[in-house]
Amino acid sequence: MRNLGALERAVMDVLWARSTPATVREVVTDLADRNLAYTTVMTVLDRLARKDFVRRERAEDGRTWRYVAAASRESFVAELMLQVLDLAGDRDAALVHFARSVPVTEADVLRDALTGHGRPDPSGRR
Amino acid sequence: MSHALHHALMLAVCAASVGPLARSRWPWHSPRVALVLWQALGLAAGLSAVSFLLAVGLSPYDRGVLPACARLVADVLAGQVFTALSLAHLVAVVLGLALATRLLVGAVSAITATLRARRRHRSLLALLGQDGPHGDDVLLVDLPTPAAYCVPGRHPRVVISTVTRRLLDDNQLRAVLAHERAHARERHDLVLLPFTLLRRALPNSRLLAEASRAVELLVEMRADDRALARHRPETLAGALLCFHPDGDGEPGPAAPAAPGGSAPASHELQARVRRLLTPRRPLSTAVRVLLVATATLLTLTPVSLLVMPG
Repeated sequence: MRNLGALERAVMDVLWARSTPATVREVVTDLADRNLAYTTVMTVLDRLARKDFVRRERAEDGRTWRYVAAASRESFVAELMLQVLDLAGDRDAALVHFARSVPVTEADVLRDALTGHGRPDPSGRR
Repeated sequence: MSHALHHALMLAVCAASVGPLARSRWPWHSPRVALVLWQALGLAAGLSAVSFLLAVGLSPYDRGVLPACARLVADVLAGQVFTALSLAHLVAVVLGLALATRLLVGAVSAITATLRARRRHRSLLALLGQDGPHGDDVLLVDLPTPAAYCVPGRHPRVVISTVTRRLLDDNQLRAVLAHERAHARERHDLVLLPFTLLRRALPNSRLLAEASRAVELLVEMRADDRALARHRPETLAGALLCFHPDGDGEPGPAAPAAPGGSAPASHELQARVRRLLTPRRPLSTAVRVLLVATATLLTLTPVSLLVMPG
């Protein structure tokens, strides 16, 4: 499992580095130093798509799939932050904290990160 | 009508004890026993609320709700409902069933939402977290805020932000990890769940908000106690204070407040630090036995009212 996680991260890094959608073949090429099989990369991309980390679209030929990161790394970090700070929605007992405390400056950092990525601020402030 | 009265009385007793119990300090001396009492209180209140409505409707049968329900089903099958119950009684029964359904559906949807949020969180952690040198169950995440928490489940994970790692010394970090592992091992997420569910059913209830806050604090104190088995109280207190470095106790106007209007976290934090730095005085065995007996009685009363044949 741990290996799979590392692969997912490597594939995401490739997609984040590219500005345009990539085919499986292109991702394999970018990860040439890892010597990955085509099917392995395809499986990883499929898993990432199921987790909504990656979007799939048809290439111009209408047959091959192309993959693109669903969001930037920063907005995934911001999403994680929202969940950590319990701002993601109602306060369900999804996580159990050591201490809930957000120093003012950090809150500002977060708010900047969020407004920068166009996510609604559930506390009603922007 | 006496069954309905009993359930109403039970509900009133539960509601009346929330405030005093939430404001008392004695539960802090033995958080685990206090948590048992809170669980019993929550369960008794939920059961009594549903049973009250049903009992009002089923009062002509003059027996506990469950046996009366059996009678109702028999009467419905025999096609003679209206000989036993008036329309008003039937309305009360329908309302009771509706409340029970609402609580049940709410519970299912809340649990599904929590599980979905947790799965998403685990995916994000797999993408953004790194394995640290602190154990297989500990993840390090690069976040611009001090954070230390546990993702509960069958394979629990403790998550520490890089800022936390920098703020704490090695001993403090180990104490924090012990605290989080206590949350995971004792499934404190499940201890909090009934109160989350009740709050979902009645989102505007101040009483429930007060109860949830008290239970959340007790859960933290319990985890603190577990951490103290291996770590010095000063170490843990020091770690807690790192989460509030300015120490004036107020998070300031710009800090995002959690939705639902919860009180500033700093108040609870100070209570925990002060508790850690004063010598521990657990409640005596006699008092604890008494409290567990009270909790048992609280749970059994509405249940026995439900099944009472006469």
